[in-house]
Amino acid sequence: MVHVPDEIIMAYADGQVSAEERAWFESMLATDPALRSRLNPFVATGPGQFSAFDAVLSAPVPDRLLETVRGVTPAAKKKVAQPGLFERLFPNGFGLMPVAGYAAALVVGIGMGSALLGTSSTVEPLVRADRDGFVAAGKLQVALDTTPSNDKRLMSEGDIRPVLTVRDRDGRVCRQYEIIGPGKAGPQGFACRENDGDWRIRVLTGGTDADGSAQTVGQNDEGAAINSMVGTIVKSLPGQSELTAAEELFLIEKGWDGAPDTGGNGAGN
Amino acid sequence: MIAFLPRLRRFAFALTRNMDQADDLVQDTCERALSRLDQWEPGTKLESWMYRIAQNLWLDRKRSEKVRGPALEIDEAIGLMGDDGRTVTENRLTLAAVSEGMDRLPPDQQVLVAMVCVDGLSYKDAATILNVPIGTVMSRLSRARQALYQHIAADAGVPNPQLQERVHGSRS
Repeated sequence: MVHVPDEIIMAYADGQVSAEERAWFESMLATDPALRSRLNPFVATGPGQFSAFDAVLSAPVPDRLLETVRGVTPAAKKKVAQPGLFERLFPNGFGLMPVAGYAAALVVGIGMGSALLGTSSTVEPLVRADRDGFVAAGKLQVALDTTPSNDKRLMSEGDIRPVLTVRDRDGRVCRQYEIIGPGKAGPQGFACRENDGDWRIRVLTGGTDADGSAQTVGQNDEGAAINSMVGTIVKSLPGQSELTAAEELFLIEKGWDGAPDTGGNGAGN
Repeated sequence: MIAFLPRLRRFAFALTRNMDQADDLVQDTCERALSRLDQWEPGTKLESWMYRIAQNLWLDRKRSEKVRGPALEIDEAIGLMGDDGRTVTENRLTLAAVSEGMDRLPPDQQVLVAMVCVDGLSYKDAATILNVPIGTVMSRLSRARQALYQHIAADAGVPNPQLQERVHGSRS
């Protein structure tokens, strides 16, 4: 009599055998009645017998877990702490933000924005405020300086992916970017490079979460609309032209110091 | 990550058999995952990586608990299950039997029961997550399930008809 190992019996009970193995095992079952009693413990403890645990699947997920995943620290969540954040960043209020000429579209997110702005102790700030508004810092600055647009490998949460590069009518280079988030759309932004090398943020959104409960300025269900607005705004800027990949790469290699409208390798000019 | 939370909670609940402890474990797992996103290899499953973090955290916790009392909170679990009385009764007893049986297993075997039997992962996926050969997964899991079955079969008061039939049909 062939001895059938427990592991094979279990795999048969769990349906994790090939068609050939199944046929072989069933032929063994037909000739060895003891096999059936050895099979019982595995059938009784197989997947599908543990439905008692499945109730958790349909139970509401506690807010504290959702907030953890969204990067909202307990101390910085929702209505109480967020105004403080904005008061710190914009002591003079929104009225002084330099948005004229850019469709007046400075949109600042709160939910993902708290991580974006570095209020969590574990997150390095991606923007820093100055008297004129704010500019890219840390990883965001590095990404805008060095990362070509639309790198498909940048897909994990927290990655910063430049989306496209344009030159505006004043000759400044501007880049649209997104930060890969846990939800449908991560925070997006649009920044233009100043003469001193800073990337000045022109548009910034907070991203949306899969369940639509993103805490973006405005109503929750406007989050997605605001995010899609970024692309629309960027594309509708007057007098700007999109750089080709070759031009972009050339400028990255030169540290973005190419003369306005020379366009590096010349494509598109 | 949010879409994965219910499954991760079920996995954590299967390990801890206590909803509060399960949510603590899920929260710790998410915090660790978010703080170490740079260690996740894009192209691999985010879920697998988080299972690995969760089971590592849980095993660490188990090692630090020299003596552990039963952490079963069946009533709390029942509260999640809706109003169908029959279902509640069956789930209650099955959950109690399974939980007591799992309490008696070594932690590494509990992890495998939670992954394969509760979550439905393949042996291969479990082996990948745990970074052990698939043969190790299968031998550990088969021992775990035989022990679990012994406990369930020895539990005389289980009225789940299917389980009863299997239990009594095999005790010879």
